[in-house]
Amino acid sequence: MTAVPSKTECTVLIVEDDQDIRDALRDVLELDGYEVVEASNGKEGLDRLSAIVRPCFILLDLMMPVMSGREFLAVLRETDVLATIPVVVVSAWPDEAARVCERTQGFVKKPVSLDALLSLVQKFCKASPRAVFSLTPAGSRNPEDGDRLKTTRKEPNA
Amino acid sequence: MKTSDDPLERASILLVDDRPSNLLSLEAILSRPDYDLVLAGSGPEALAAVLRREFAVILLDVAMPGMDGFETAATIKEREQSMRVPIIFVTASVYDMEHIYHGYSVGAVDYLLKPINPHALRAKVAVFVELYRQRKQIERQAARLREAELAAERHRHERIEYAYRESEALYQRTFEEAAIGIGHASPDGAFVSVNRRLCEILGSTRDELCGRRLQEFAAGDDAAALVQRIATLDVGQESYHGEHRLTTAGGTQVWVALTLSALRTAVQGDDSRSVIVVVDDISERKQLELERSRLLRELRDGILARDNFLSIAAHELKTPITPLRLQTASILRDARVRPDSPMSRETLYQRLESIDRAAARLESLIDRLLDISHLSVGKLTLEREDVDLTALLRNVVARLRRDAEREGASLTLVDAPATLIGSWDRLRLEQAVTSLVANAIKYGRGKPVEVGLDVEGDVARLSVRDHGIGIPEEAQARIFDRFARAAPVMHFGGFGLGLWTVRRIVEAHHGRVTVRSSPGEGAEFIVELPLPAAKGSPRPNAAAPRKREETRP
Repeated sequence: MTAVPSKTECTVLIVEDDQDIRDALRDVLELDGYEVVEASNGKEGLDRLSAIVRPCFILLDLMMPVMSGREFLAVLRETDVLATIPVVVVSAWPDEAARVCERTQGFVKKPVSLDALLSLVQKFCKASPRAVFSLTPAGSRNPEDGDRLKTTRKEPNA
Repeated sequence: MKTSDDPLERASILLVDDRPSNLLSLEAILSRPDYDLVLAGSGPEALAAVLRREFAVILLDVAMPGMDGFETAATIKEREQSMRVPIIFVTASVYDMEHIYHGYSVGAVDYLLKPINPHALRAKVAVFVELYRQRKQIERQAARLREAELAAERHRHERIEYAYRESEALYQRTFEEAAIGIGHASPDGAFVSVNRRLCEILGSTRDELCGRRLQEFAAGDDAAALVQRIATLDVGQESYHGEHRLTTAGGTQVWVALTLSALRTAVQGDDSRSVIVVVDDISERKQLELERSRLLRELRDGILARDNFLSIAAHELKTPITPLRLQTASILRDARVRPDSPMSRETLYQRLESIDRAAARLESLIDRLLDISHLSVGKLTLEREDVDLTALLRNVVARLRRDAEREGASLTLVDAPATLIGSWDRLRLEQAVTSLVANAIKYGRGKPVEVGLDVEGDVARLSVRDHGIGIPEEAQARIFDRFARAAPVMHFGGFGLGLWTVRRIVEAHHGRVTVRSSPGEGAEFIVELPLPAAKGSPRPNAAAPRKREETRP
């Protein structure tokens, strides 16, 4: 089992328009001691990023009103200070996720399982945020990300 | 017609002598009922008689003053008409004999010496008369034969003529009565002859049609194409077949199958072509084809929309699974990993509440699906009761206000009468209004949403107005169809059946729902419900029995 990380070090931004899903993701992550910031669309997500400590990674829904996940990604990757934040797409549509894979560091299919979620935080939050970013620069997508997510999901609970 | 059994043909005999006593004597000897004796006193008299009638034999006295017998005979023999008439010269001189046989190559010639022996005279005359009669009979038979041949020929000719006329008439009738339009046209397309059906198809009389050109009935480009077709037709080459839309003289459109063939018109020489135009009215078939392809398109669209709907429905149903699975897995993991310090009762309660909410959401989604399925296949049963529409709207607005605020929008009921009572199905109307308001919130981009109600005559007019993305004009016509959705599928959740359900409900109430929108400026949905005669009654009659009504989709 992973040691509970310090809250200040490990913040996760959830950008998702469905409140029930957002609540559930937050509940689970908070129970494990992670700091969670919520946004109900891309625009809110960008607003939150300007106000909070840099998150370890972003869980991003694609289909949202006001500003979609795609639009959010486009702005994020164009903004210097935000460009290197890892983004994991949470979507029911693998085809849609594939269309933005160049700009993301992973994909979790809805409905999201607890294992998939926990392996994500283990992957992106185990080191200090600064260290993670130096290892995974923006634009250099790891082609194994998808596979790794699949295999980690099958692992028993840590 | 004469036959051989006829009485003896009368024979004319010319007696020529300058002495009347001799003539009398000859006449006396030869007189018989079947002889016509003609007397001539001189050569010229004899010639005159020969001109008038045909004689079986001529008795000619040789010695006559003036024109003698030989001279007379020579003249008779010169004439085509009389050259074959046998002549018996009567002479007293045997020296005349040489003359008699000399120089007459045509026709029989004989003689009698004076004094005349009556028996010899009769016998000689009888021989010539018999010869004459035989010749006449042969001539008659030949004439009869010729006549018979002529009659047969005439008959055959008449039969051919009749057959030709019959055939001509048959072809003419076939051309005229054919159930297909046929016409002949000159190489420039001008009609020369047309049949009745062609007149019918082109809506013109024969006189109007003849002289007009086929391409005049076609439109623009098609007319030019027809001119080209006609110009390139070649005798003996393949005909042209095509479907064209023509405009009749009366202005109606008619679809025709057109066949054009070139025909050589021999009378006018090798270079002359004529065009056979065959026109079949296929408007009905064309109409059916169009109708069929329309139905096919509708069907295909319907199937596509349904597949689309199924995909969306599956996605919608999956959404609550995420909180369900996450929360249950989290509780289970907590129990397994931290059995000694379980989550607080408060946290557990919160988790279970979340699970309950997800389950409720699933249930509601399934209910909606079932409702849609029910509305699709079956009847919509209305449970009418007295309903205060204002109160109903107020409830819906209060219930959805939280959702609106979550989207940053205000939701208000504006301009509604204090009460508006009508006989409606409360639950179905609530469903319809909820659907319209939820749509307005969903597509409203966080701008204010206004719900209004007023009465126009005996119609309650309910409106839901947003200031969001609006609906493109081309989509407005179909948003009330099943599975229709104006916004891109991936963009907003929902079954895409909300407005269809609204329409079903409103129409079941004998009302109608319409939309006014311009993209970018929001949309206003208007529901018009007929009010019963006792509308606006301030005191709802609680005892009024519920009426059941059924409508079919």
